[in-house]
Amino acid sequence: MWVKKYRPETLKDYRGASNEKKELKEWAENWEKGDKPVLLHGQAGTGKTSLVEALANDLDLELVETNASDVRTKNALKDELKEATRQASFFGGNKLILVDEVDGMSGSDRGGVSELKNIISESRFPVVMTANDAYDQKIRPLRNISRQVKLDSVHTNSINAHLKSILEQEGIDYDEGAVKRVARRAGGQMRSAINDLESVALGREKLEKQDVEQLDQRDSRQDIFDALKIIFKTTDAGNARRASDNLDEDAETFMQWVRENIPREYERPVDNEKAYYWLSKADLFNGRIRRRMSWSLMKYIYEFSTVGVALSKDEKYSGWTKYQYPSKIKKMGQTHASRKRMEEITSKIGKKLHLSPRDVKNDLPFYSHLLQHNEALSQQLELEEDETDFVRKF
Amino acid sequence: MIDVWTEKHRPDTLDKVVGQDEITERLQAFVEEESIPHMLFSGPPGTGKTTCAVALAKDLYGDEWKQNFMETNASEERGIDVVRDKIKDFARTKAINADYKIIFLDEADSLTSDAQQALRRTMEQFSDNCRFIMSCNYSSKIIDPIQSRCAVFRFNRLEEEDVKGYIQRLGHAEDFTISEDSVEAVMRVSDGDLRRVTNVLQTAAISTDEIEEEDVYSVSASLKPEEITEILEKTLSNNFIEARDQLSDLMIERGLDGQDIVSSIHREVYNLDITDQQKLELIEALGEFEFRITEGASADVQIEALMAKIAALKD
Repeated sequence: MWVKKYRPETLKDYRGASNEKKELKEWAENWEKGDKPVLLHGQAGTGKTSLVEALANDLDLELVETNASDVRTKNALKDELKEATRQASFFGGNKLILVDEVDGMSGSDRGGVSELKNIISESRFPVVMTANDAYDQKIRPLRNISRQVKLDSVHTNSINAHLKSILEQEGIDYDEGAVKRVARRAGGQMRSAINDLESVALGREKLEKQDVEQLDQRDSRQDIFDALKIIFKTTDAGNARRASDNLDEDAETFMQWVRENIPREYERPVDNEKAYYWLSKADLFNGRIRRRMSWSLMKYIYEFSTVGVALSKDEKYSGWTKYQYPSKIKKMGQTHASRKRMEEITSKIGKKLHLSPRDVKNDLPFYSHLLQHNEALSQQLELEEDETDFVRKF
Repeated sequence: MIDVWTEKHRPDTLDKVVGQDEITERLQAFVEEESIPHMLFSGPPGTGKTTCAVALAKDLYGDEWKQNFMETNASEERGIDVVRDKIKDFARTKAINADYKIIFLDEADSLTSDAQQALRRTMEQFSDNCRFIMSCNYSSKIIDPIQSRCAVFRFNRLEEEDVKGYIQRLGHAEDFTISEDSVEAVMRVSDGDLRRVTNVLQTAAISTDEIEEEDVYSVSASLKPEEITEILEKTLSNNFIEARDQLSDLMIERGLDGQDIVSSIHREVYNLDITDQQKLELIEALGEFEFRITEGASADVQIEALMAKIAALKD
């Protein structure tokens, strides 16, 4: 397996995540008993386990790995982990304890999580836990005692570079475009990229574009599109309810997908209104959950945005709708810089005028007007020329 | 001097504050006794909360007011920790020629209750040498432990007579005349918000020194986000997706606050081309959606749900 064969041995070999590497290294080097454990989280295939392994290698620590989703009962945990966290290393050196996939522990096993928490807080050695979803309600006790480090999905360029180096080491020639395509379709997951690459390139002399085409889409979005199709096309409560089973997306992202596509599918305003009625209820529940930490309400979010939205239509719409990626998520990414600028400028003006940025934003047309008619004002407000232009636009 | 009238004509002392007589009287008594409690100023925008806080500081500290008074915004984008750090930095040094400093924390109701708890601890930590004045639109959004530590002052919408007197004085100072009808029009478009009154007048005075009724209306239309009207019109004419895009530009790129947009929509509902019965229905729905936003729901989804309701009216 190439995934194993080309695992980074050292932090230097590990591509990307330079800040996280530094943070983990400093933490592990300075760790003393009583310090916080690390909760390393990020979506599947971002290289959490590899990172910890490389870290242990670099610092010459003996890595003790436990996979929380294998070790299901309290007793088993006790045996495996208590020993490891108490006993000095067999080889006399120091240890690094890795508890992999803590969010994979079975949901009913609450005792397991608190046992784990106790063992970890008393550990003589630094502990890293990994999780796909740090906000999974059942690991909340662990999250609260941990220092959180997030691994973002891997940038396509880093994946691309890594894939090319693998091919070079394997002695396989390649078409640049073909490799790029494998990298791109992995959706930020290094592991699936390497698996894909192995499945299309192994045994070939050269990897060509057409070799890549046979590759199955291993795109997590596939699932969400299926879910949307069920919700929007069915009028059966049972079917609709199952649409959110096995989804990778968290509740908020899921709601954004539904929100984006309600008016795209439901062209009759009355259906649109009803669907929004349910979605806005789901959103209200999301607010309550976040405010009061009432995680047990989570099921209603899913029910309102699946069953509620599905039953909002009187009859099915025929034809095919192109479901789209949530524009809010897209826009938040694209406008990051300009939003920051808006915040800076409005707060600068606000300081001069004893106003909050919010007040200034609300009256932006007014300030634009004044700045257009009063040359002296931009100097009085100590605005740079480009800042003045920014406001004048409104 | 800054040529923005709200700032240029902001009173320097408590006895020149427009309206809120009972409050300024109490505050002046505090100044005389040199004994300031923690305070919570609650009330709608443009009723004098910031002005009173600044005037109080000037009355109390005289020339040293700037060193002893810090103004900061609770809704600081970078989070409550940044706010607390600022407070700590400011509170660390001693007040100049006074027993304590004053920290004015604007928009305290934008903080979650967790952040307010943290703030409460900060208040306690520094209460030896600092007094806090917090301002908010709704005191119900401030947690009890903070309210109970504060003297609470409710700022009401200004009385018509007070606003009219202010407009006349402003006319004197800035050399414009304004007819009786235009004053009425200003009152109507500004809803007792003195900042809006001032902004409307300053904008009108750019093009004329004799302000007429129609100047007031055209100016006020140009000052509110025109997009709101446009969004509602598009919604009614069955362009839901376009209207939704425009709303999200307003909220994400312009960064307008959801609650402020709800207020703007509220003002526009009566101008929509729908029956009175339908207007009432919308107002009822608005009430529900605004309440939900205070409950932690996201403003954009709730406003869209309202728009979906509006779009269905024409069906």
